[in-house]
Formats: sequence, C-alpha cells, structure tokens
Amino acid sequence: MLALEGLTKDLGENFSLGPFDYEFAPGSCTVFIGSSGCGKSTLLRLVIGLLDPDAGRIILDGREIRAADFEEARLRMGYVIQDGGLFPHLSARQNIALMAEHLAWSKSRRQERLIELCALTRFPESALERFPAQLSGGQRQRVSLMRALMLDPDFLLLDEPLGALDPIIRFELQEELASIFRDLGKTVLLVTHDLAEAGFFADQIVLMRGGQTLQKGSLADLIERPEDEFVSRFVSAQRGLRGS
Amino acid sequence: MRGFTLLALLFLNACGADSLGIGAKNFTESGILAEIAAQLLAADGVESETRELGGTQIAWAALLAGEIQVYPEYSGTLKEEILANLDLQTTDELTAALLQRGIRMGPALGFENTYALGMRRAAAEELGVTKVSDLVEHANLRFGFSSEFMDRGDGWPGLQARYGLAPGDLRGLNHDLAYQGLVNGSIDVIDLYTTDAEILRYDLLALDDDLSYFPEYQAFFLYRDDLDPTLIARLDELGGRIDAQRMIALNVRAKIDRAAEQLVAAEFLEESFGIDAGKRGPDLLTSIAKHSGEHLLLLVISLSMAILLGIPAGIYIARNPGPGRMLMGLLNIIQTVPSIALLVFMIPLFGIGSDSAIVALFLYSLLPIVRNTSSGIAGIPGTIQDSAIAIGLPAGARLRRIELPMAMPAILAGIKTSAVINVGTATLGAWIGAGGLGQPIVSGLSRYDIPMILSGAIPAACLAILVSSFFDLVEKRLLPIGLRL
Repeated sequence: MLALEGLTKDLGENFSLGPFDYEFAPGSCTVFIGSSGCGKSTLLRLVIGLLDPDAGRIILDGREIRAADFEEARLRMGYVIQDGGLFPHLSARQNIALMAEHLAWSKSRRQERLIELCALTRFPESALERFPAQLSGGQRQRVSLMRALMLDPDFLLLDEPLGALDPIIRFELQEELASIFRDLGKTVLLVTHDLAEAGFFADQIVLMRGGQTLQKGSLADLIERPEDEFVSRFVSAQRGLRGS
Repeated sequence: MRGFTLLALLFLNACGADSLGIGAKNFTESGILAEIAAQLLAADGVESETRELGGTQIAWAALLAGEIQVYPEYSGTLKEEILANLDLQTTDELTAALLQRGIRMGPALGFENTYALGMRRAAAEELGVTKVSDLVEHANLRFGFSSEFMDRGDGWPGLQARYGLAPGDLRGLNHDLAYQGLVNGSIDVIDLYTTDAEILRYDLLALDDDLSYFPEYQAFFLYRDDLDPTLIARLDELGGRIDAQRMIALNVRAKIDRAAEQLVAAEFLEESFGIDAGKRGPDLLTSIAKHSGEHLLLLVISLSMAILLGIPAGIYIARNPGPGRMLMGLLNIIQTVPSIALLVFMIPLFGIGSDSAIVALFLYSLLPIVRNTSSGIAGIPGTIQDSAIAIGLPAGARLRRIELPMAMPAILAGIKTSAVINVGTATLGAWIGAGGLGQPIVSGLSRYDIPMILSGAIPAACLAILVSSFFDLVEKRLLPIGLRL
C-alpha cells in the first residue's frame, strides 16, 4: 500500500506542487492527467525519489520512505518514461536484466524471467540482443516496460508510456498494458495528457492544473459532474479533438 | 626482448641520478667543451653523461642542485649575469663567491669568448663602420639579437645605455638564425661570440668595443665542490690548453664541417693529449632509436598519470559543478602557460631532466582528459540518468555500468588529444635536459644543422601519427557497440 501525506515541492517562479494526500489501493490504477506543465510528471518523480519533497511523506506499507531508504524502495517500483530511457550502450537483454545482474541473480533465473516477460509483452526473444537504436518505437517501450517489470515490483509508475508512439501501435499497446495490469494485479500510477487513454486505464482519474488537484474521480464524474470550470473546458477540448 | 631490454635501460637511465653529469649550454662551443671533459674522464674509465641544457640559468641551477657536477662557463657571464647582484670586481672575489655556493672554478682554458657586435665586412666598410660608437650615426640599421643577449645584465640594455644607441629596427631571435639573417641581408647587426666559427666562414667584422663595455669572458670549467678531487685534478689539466685560435678551429670543425661534437672533442684529445676514448658519436639509427625511446617514455608516464588522475577529476567536476568550475579554471590557466615556461617552472621543484618534463607534460595532458570526462558524463541525457536511478542502481554501479561507458567516446577523444599534443610538447623537454626527440631538434637548431633537426622532427611526426592511429584502434576496441549505431 502506497500513500502520500501532505507531499509538497516548491519548484520556484511561483510554482509549487501539492500538497498531495493520496492513497493508492493495491491493484488499482490511478491516472494523473492535465495539460503540460501541470506538475503530473514531477509528482511521479517525487514518488520514486528522483526529487526530494520540501514537506510531507511517502508511506510504503505503513512506513515512511526516507532518503536513505529509496534505493531499497525503488526495487519495489518499476518506472517507465515516454521515450523509454533505455541505455543506448546496452542490448535489450542487458537493459532489462541490468538490475537483476547487480542483485546477483543467477544466469538461469534471469533467463527464465526474460522469457516470461517476452511472452507477457509479446516481444520477440530473437530481438533481445539488439541495441535500442536497432529497435522500433513500440519495441523500445516494450523493453522499457520489461525492465520495469523485471524484479516483479508491486508498483508501476508510468510517465506517458505511450506518448511517443504512432496511433496504431499506441492502440495495440494500450490493450496489452491494460491486460498486463489486470493479470499481474500491480498498483499503477500513470501520467498522460490524453483523456481517452485515462478513461481506458483508470480506476481513478486525478485532473491537475498549476501543481494542484482540481478533481478526483471516474471519467464519468469528470464529464458529467465537473467541479470546476477548467475541468469542463479540459474535458470538452479533449472530446472535441477526438471528434466525438 | 631486445626492445624490452632497451626500454628498461632507458628507464634506469632516466632514473639514475647518481651518474656523473656534465652539462653544456645549448651552443656548439659549450657542447664541444663538455664532450672534451667527458672523454678525458672516460679515458680514465670514469663514465659520465653529457646533458645539453637550455641556457645559462638552467645550467647554473642544475649545477647548484647537483643535477650536474661540471659545466663550462665564462667569467663575464658569472660576474655580470649569474652573480650580477654581488658586483664582483676581481677574480679572487669571484672565486670566493663561488666557494660560498659550493662551486669550484677550474683554471682558465686559455681563450676568451666575449660578446661583440658583428656586421658583414663588406657592408661595414661601405658605411665606414669599424667600432660600436660608429653605429650611433646609422639609426636605420636593422639589429637582430639573441634573446639571451637582449635580457642579460651584460648585454643589450647596458650596451645601449653606454653608447647611446637607438636602433629603429630591433628584434630578438635565435643566435644561429641571426647569422642566417645577417648573411641573407635581412639583418645588419647581430651580437656574436668572438670564437664563433661563422666569423671566419662568412667574413664578418667584429666591431671594436671602443668604450670597453663588454667584460672579460675567460672560459673555464665549474665543478661542484663535492666532486672527487682526482677527477678535478684530471680536468684541471685542460687549463691553458685551448687558445682562441684553437677554439675557433674546433667550432669551425663542428659547425662548418658538420662533424659531430663527440668527434671534434675526440680529435682534440687525440692531438693534444694523445688520448683516444673511442667515442666518435653514435650512428643515426642508434641515436633515433635512443631518442624515440626516451620520448615514448616521457609520453607514456605522463599520459598514464594524467589518465589515472584526470578521469576521477572529471567525474568529480561533473558531480560538483560549483567547485568543479574552479578546478576547470585552474586547469585552463595551466594550459595557457607557454609550454617552455611550464617546463622551466618545474625545475626548482623536480630538478633538471625527465622528472620535470614528465610533470609538465602531465599537467598539460590533464585538461583535455578532465574536460572530456566531465562533459561526457554531464552530457548524458537526464532521462537516462533518471532511469538508472529509478531502476535502483546505487551510485557506484551507475558510474561503472552507465555513466563511464556512455562517456567513453568523449573520454577516449580527450586522451587521444592529450597524447598527440604531448608528442609535440615533449620535444621541448630537451631544453631542460629530458632528452627525447627534441634533443636533435634543439642541438640541430643551435648548429643550423638541418639533417640533425630532421632526425628529430621526422620521427616525432611519425610518432604523433602512430599514437593517433593507436588510439583509433583502441577506440574501435573499447567503444560500446550500441554507441556506434
């Protein structure tokens, strides 16, 4: 169980984030949505400890994660970003297995897990020896996802995981991701600017603006019961864009 | 195996501080005198090493520091330049001042080599110039003086004041090039030494010092007080054996006939002392091999030190931009120090020879390696840095597995730059007695001996190309495949 308590971060220039108080129920998928610059990616970076908060706490299974604990806590979190963040000098296999290797998993254990993940993400095993530059955009995101899943973490933090992909691949991967979340029962925190994608994945949607939460609820809540004028504008703009 | 033995020998040679060192300043006469001393001792079975040093101050400093035990000097240079602040008048005063510093003066060799101003005889006659004071009338003459003469206490500044000279065109240049300039007519007046071979060769006129400005320049050897008395006694036998005509003849033999200094010295000893020390100078290939070996050793040691220290420093700077900027500033300043100056600055700290050269080359090699390491690491995209942290890798593993491999192309490029620059800079090491391929260049320059210069310059250029291709090969081997796509 992951929770945020009064988490805030001052980003300067009159822009501060939070305070955020959230609980992420096990197996749930929370989607953070908003226009670019609303702070949704920064929130994810706070949760995985890439940024230090100014105040507040991140609670993992009832215990606060302090700065010194993050290295261990990160082993229970998988993190995927828009362009994959793959290490260009390592093959797909090395990218995925790097941390397991560091933790001294045996070769056979690593190989077993790799085969499992390839099947799960429908990534061809024959492409494991390729380097990131030799992979398509969709394959790169699959490798990035496998890397995040390698240690079988309880939490997945996904920052625009489909953002850089063309629509057809995006649609395919959306389906696959949703089934992976469902089958593995991971607790997911996902960031997107796309309302349809949010609706597709989310148990709970958090709409953000200027570093603050505007509304929290289901897609239907946002559409039918907007709590703020910006919420209805954001919703109608996105729906208009889709021509529906 | 033989190559290895050669390298090991060179290394021992470079480290061996105990051997007897005989110094020479970087002009022919000094070189011949040093060779004469070395071969005289060699005939008694005493091995020594002759080391050509950049100039008066370096040779004097080397003697004081015990880097060398013997070198030929001139009374005027001691009184007016080295110990000028003591205002010594008599030879007794000079002897006492030297003894205070632990230096003993040998007997006068028998010739004087004083400064004079020289012109082409034909040009001087045309203008009716015979003495220095005649020059006052001819302000349009072009003067070209050796750099040392321009600055020395007994050189140009005092001469100018004594005679009231105000030349319109005055420049400093290498002494031996000044002769070339004089002969081809681009300069009219130069400083010369009265035993210079060129006076005979080019039919020059040494102008009469009618106001008696230039001091006496008796030649003799200086010894360290702690030198074995039997050796001193042996060297003292040279007193009075070389008169001015003899010295000019030896200089002509070396500079005009292009005989090696070792050979000239051997001929002199055979004629005057009936001694044959069997040293006629090494053949070309042996000397190129020896100098290349020394050069490579300077390069390898200084570059290894720069790599070992430069990469950690680059990592530190990438991680701590604040103090890093100061460190980079310092390295930039070092880089702007002219290389010859940096070499000379090292002498008080590390003495004459390869140690100083290695430290100076090391300092020069640092900047490209440090800068490329830090920019290589700082240039890794933020998303990749984040990913490495986010998957849980601790700092040490991130450095090893992600940052260093990704910065490798930049780091290798920095090392290659340093190495190639070092091959060139190391040639300057010869000025401070570090040997290497600069030795034939420096010696050849002071003798205007083009083949000798080329015997250093061509191997140095080849070495630079070799070093560069070596690192191309290393790059191919070490660069992660993924970064080449």
